[in-house]
Amino acid sequence: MNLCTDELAVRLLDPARLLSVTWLSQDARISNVAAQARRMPPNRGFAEEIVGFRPDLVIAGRYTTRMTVALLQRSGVPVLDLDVPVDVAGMEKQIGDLSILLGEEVRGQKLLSGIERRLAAIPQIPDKEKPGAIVLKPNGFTVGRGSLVDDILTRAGLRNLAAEQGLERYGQVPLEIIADARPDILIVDGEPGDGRTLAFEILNHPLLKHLPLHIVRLPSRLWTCAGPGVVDAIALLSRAAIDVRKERRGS
Amino acid sequence: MRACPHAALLVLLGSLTALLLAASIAVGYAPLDIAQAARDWLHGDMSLPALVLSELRIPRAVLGLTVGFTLGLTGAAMQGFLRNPLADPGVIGVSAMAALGSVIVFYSGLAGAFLLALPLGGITGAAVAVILLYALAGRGGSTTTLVLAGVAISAFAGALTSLALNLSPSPYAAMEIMFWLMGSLAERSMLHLELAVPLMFLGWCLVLSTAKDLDALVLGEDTASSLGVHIPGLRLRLVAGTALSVGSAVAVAGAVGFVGLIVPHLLRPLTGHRPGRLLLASGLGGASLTMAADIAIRLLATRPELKLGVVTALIGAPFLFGLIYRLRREGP
Amino acid sequence: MTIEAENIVARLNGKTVLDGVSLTLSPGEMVGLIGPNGAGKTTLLRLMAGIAMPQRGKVRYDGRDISQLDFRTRALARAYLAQSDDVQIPLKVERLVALGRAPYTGVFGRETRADVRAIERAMSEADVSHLRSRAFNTLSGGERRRVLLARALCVEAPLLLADEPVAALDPAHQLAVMGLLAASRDRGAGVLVILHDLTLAARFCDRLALMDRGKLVAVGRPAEVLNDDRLRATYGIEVLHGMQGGVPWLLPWALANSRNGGAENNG
Repeated sequence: MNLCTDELAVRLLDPARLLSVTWLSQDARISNVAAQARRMPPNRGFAEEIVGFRPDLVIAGRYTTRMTVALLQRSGVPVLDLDVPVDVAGMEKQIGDLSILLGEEVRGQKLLSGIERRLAAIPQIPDKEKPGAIVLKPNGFTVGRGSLVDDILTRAGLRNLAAEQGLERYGQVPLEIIADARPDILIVDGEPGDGRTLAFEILNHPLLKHLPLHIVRLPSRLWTCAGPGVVDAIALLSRAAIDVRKERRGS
Repeated sequence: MRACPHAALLVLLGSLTALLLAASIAVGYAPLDIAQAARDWLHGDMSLPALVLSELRIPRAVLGLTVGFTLGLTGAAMQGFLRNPLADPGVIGVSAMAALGSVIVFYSGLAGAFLLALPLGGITGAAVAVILLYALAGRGGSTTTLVLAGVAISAFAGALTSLALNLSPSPYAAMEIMFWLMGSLAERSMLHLELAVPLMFLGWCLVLSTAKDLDALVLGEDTASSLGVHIPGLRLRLVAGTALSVGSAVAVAGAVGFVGLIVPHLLRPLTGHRPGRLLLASGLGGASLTMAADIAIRLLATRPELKLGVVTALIGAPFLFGLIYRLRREGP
Repeated sequence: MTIEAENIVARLNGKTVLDGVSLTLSPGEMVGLIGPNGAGKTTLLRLMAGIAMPQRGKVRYDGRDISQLDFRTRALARAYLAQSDDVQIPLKVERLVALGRAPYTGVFGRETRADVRAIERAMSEADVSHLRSRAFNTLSGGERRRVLLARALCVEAPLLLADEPVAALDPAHQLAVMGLLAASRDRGAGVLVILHDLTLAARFCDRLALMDRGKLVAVGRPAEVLNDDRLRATYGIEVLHGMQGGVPWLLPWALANSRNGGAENNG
């Protein structure tokens, strides 16, 4: 009943064992497993729908569809509440635990070793030469210390300037602070999606056009969930970090 | 109480406005050497300080000034024309309709089609609201009728705004209702300024041109007409002026409430209760109040930033209670 | 300046309020407009002031159709004193009177010395100079009427159209106000005034125009217009009357269908 838990379930379970995913998981713009997810019926996280599937287990995210989870638990449907990992290690542990619980250890091991192999391939950058980066999410939100995205940035060889300014987890930053921090890289959501919103207005602010920075567009499906997608995000950011470093050396 | 000489009052309010404009430019989130920034900017050197000054601080301060001037001015004009102390773009739903117009244009993607689409959306919304108000409550109609009509228009516009945002395909849209209904000057740019200020200015000229006619209107429509006031023309100038200025202000800053209500009331005794003289004074007062509220927001530095309308409402709502209480005591 | 109303027809919400009324007001004369409530007096006054336009017929100022005159010309031609004194705000008396100078002052409302003189004269004529610094909404009913009259006088227009200027005044102030209107007339102004007090009408007006149900019933010298049959037919009243120094006085005494009629007492 959650975009992120859906991805893990799709990746770990034999398709025959998965009864339903949320409607969000079928949207290729935000889901990494949309193609597989479209083969099964969607739900919107309402208790009535869920009971109709007669599941042996419902997998939910810790912070979403709380009313439904409470209802299901009261009516005796087993619910597994998955936490939201705040770093890559936590994510790996969650995948391992879940695969054991679902009786899919083999698939789980395969998934994990793939992740490890790719992480090992990410080149290291010496601390002094790490480019500074700031994440600018819609509405001027950014991420600080103690968040999955912070870990992604660090592993990609970037300094998260928001974290260095003492920001914990999530928060809004005024453009002025961003300008003042002089980042080399600005990381923004790659696919703004349909329709205009004020949330993306901030990315069109003329100030950003004048600042000497690289804008990296990171598709949101790669870093919204703590799943294998974050490895792609790390790889993408790592390439940007290396480019910036080269450019700095060149000049 | 003797009304102080009008010129002195205007000079005082003008200085206050200038002072707050300077303060609003000086106050920000990151330290900024204004002198250095100004030097760089004037020399065409787009250094970081120059960028912060020209693309963030100045647009925000000037927008605060112009939006506030608009609200103070139109509040005073509507109170004078409708001869009703509760007439204010916020209370009677003009701002809410302007927000609706802007929201429809913005989220439908029309805003991208041509540059002026966004302010025009706001202006259309505001014009519809003003015309609807005249139709529902008329001139010199009772305070009750006017406020009822305003409540109806506000609620209707608020609901449609919410609906439009929910129908928007973007997941962020629904959260943005706060901006449209409360208003904010955060992260506005020179682009917004260029878009809205010329239209606001046009609106101000129209509204200010009614000063002498509003004075005569104190005597009632017939007598004013006998003194050479062309009532339909006056109405048209006020509708157009209010729609132009409030519509474009809301299109770039959202619906900031209460400024147009409080400021005219505070300044009225100081202008000898002359509606015409109140206009300019109230505009300057509105600009001062709005900039002061915006400075307070940045000094408080909450995360996420407080909406401008929150601060003005915090000041304005108790004031409104007082006003209603006084109206009640004075009787119908 | 002369106002002519010619064959005026006015409708309000589908109801005919004026039905073919013609009336002329010449310089130096005071005409009293009388008639029962709802006869159309105020409508006629507003049409002749050019504040509203008739459905049919013409209003002419010195022979020129009023719809051809611009607003300022009209404003300088006539002063209009409305029936209502509904000014709620605490505007100072002096400033309120000064509004009468609006047709003279420019866009910015700057007052010249002539304007100031006119304001002072009007206030002193209407006996409100001592109230100059008071807030209008704190005045008594009688004081308000006099201040509003001062406002109308200070236009210094050749025509004065006044809608019930003596309503709510005590007898002394009624006489004083009528005296002021008469003085304007004596200076050459044409004065058209709606009155309910028939004695004041007879005493101060040169001519009376009696209206009933949208029609002009009679126009002429007071003694000709105010006869018993007409008053019975229009107002439905019996009056006591007599003569005082060549001027008739009238005292409404009873409703016309009442048995206790007053006409026989008239000796």
